Amino acid sequence: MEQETSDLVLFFGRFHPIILHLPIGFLLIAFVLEMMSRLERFKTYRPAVGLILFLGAVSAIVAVVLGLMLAEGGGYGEELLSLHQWLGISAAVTAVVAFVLNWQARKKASSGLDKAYVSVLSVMVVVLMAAGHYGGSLTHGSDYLTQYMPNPLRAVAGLEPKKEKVAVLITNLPEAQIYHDIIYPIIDARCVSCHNPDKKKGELMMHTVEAMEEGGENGAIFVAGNTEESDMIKRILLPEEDEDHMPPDGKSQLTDEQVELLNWWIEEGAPFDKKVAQVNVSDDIQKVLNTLVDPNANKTEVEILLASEVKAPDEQALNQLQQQGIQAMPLAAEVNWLQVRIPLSKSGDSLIQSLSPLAEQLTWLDLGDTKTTDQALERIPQFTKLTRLHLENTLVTDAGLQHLKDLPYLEYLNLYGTQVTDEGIQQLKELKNLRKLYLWQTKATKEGVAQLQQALPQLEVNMGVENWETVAADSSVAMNK
Amino acid sequence: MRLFEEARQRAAEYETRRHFLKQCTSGLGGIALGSLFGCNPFSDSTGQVLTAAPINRNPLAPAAPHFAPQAKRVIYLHMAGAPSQLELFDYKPELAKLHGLDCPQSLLEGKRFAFIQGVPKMLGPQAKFAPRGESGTMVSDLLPYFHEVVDEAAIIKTLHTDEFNHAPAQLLVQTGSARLGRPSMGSWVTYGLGSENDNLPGFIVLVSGGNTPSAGKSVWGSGFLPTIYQGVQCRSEGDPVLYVSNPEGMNRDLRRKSLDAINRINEDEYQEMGDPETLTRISQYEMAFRMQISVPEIMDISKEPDYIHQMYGTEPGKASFANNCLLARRLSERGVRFIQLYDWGWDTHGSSKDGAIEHGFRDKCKQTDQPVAALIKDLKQRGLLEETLVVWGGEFGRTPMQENRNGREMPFMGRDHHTEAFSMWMAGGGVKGGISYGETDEIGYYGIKDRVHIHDLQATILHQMGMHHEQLTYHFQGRDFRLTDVAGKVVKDILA
Repeated sequence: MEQETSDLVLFFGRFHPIILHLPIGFLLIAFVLEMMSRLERFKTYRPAVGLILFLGAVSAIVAVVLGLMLAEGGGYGEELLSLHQWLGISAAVTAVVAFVLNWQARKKASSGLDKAYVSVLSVMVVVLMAAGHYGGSLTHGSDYLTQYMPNPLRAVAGLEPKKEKVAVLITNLPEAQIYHDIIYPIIDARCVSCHNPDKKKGELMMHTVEAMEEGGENGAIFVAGNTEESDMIKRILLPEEDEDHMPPDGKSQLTDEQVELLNWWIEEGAPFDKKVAQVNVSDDIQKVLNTLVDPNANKTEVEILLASEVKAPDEQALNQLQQQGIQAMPLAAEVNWLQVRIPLSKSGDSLIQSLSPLAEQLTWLDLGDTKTTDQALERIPQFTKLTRLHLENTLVTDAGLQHLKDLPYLEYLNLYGTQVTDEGIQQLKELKNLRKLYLWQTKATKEGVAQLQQALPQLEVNMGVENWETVAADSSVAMNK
Repeated sequence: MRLFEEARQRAAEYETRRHFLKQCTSGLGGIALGSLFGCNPFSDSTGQVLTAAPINRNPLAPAAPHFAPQAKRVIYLHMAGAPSQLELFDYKPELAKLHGLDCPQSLLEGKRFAFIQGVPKMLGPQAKFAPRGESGTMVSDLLPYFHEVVDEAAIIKTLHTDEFNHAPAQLLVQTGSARLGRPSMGSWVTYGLGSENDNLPGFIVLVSGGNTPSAGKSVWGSGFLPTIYQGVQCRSEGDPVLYVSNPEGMNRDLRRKSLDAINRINEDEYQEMGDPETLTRISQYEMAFRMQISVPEIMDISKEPDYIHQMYGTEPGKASFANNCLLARRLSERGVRFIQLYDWGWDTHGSSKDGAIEHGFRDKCKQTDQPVAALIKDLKQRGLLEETLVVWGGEFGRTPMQENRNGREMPFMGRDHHTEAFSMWMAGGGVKGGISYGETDEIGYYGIKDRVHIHDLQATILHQMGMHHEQLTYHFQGRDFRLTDVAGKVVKDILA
């Protein structure tokens, strides 16, 4: 069995990233001062170089020792690690040599020694740079520097142009490869940046099927068909602040839907070569899968409408409304959709025309408890984006309702306390998006509502509280037991 | 010796006022510097010092939320004293089998209770449960009217809190902190969203049950937020707001003139000092003036039709929870942002008849069940429930054990304070209806699945109002504060 690294070694090892900046700073400044002091003007700097080189060499040795300790902990790509390790050691060695040569050259005033000193010093700087660069690649990933490089520069550096990170939509769901088309894109986006050949956190790589099957230092990361025993799922489900939670606190987290998909994949035996049509798909999973084909699959038309962009409302029109004492508010900050509430003291009849310039943005309109009549509804068809309309306790009648049929997105309509009848509400049949209708204290009857609901099966109609007395009677029996 | 004393006396005599002021300069300079550097108590939430801004800045002007809201307002029904979840929503048949047995040591080790000492006996549920509504949610027979609206509510069974005494626990629920000094939930909401009604406060508090909550009026205080955001207590008996009517000899015109004069002085003061509390003062005087008309009208429930009174069980002119429920509906119709009801008297320890599970507790259920159900139904038939979030709950739960204060047997059945698991429900405002969330163990002692902390509840309420609980902050004494402190997670599973 592999011997466990002691905590103390790792504890000191973790100081490597802190200490390593000292030799870099010292040795670079030693080189810069040495070069400058060769000019007559800066001759006075020369005596300082020896001391700085000494400090640089000592801190380089410390950094190397700590680095070796850190490497004991594992979790780094072997190739890159050994490159960094040997470059680091070389940097420390050349620093020591440079210090000795500097000291000897001054003591003996030999030009031969001086030449050797300068060349060692120059080599040291190059090695130091290289060691530093590969060290950075170890912690941040080898593409850290170039990740955001603009495409023209990439061409010069001989790199491939940047990949556009757009979620690829699946076109044929039943034929889609579960692992390749559905699961791997999730893993690629959320896991692979730390679990790859360069970084290997927890000795785990997830970039290929083989690597997934191999697992990490704690063994397999999933047990086919058993989500509860699968380490991967267990860690994902831990609270975010838990040390073992994945992805770690602060990194982009998996969405609930992504977790559901991973769960489903493992439950279905974690296949790497099956198609969606070959496994069980529950209704919930089907819903999630549908969003991979069409991101709007589970949204209502109204939700899609309100999620879309609309141009900013006319400032002047907003100001005019304000002066008339009407609140026109955006639904939310940085959203242009508007809600308007007509004050109780006013009538919608006279005010509705001043809302015309906002027809494109207006989506919630509250005319409730005002003296609004059918006259206002005649003008309502221009507000095609209305989704919620309050007309409760107004003077509107059946005649006005005919104008509502041109509001394709209307989802909520409140007509309680109006004179509308069964006949009137039949005119709402074409409102395919209507979900909530309030008809308490109107002349509408159950029969009329049933007729309407035949045309709109998803419509929920509230006719007010019924049978309140019988409830009271039942309850008094229960209470007296 | 004397020489020294004399020398000291001389030295002191030389210390003139001029010396004193000179020595103070560095201290005073430091204070001045501090205020220049932004440790200014009068800075607003963006950290900028408010300088003389236009005087028409209305702190209660409606503001857009962070994202499109599900709920435009909240009605929070706080049952002060903490009702027992085991007699209402958390059905525990196993506990009935353990009734009368000694509580196992494993439940007591390392626990602190408010009153339980030694080894108490287990107390089985004192109510009958059955599935109710179309959803078949288990609710006890003590809430017969609630059965009618159970399909509107999401019952959370795994609330847990940090405090086992009433006042700190109430503060935690209402202000996010067990200590005094934080703004209450209603203050945060009106600070974030303003008020839709110019003539009424954005945050109104109604109290019933004969007592204010143990934590006092700080549960509707505004803490360090400008005081304009604090809750305004209205009464259903007598003057609706204390001192809202004009005294004898003061008519409305004279009141207007004196307010105009006071406002002019305050405006000058604000231009000079830039203190937002001056703005608060101006708008509060103006609000009070408008409330002299609006409040008596809205608080008068006598003109409600008879069937509404029957439905709620209200009696005009009396102070009761039922009246407050009806008022809550009237206030939500007028666009009041946060309506907070407190009903006192739910602290059932079993030490008196009023505080007994088999007596007082049943009476409280009877008093509140009908009006709560009526409120939900009435909001629904008016199309208001869609955009009104109703929250019901206490500040903690009750133990599955019979209380044994001072190690003695109690005269009645009662349960001690319990922080680990208790039930609350929410309805309307974009919350799923007819569901239960979270599971407790067989005796309702711990939450074992989907636990919900008080901060999670608060985050969820703010979320339904269209606000990110992490972004609704106020800069005070050098740092940003928020309702949920450094915690809180929206309970997404109960949202429609």
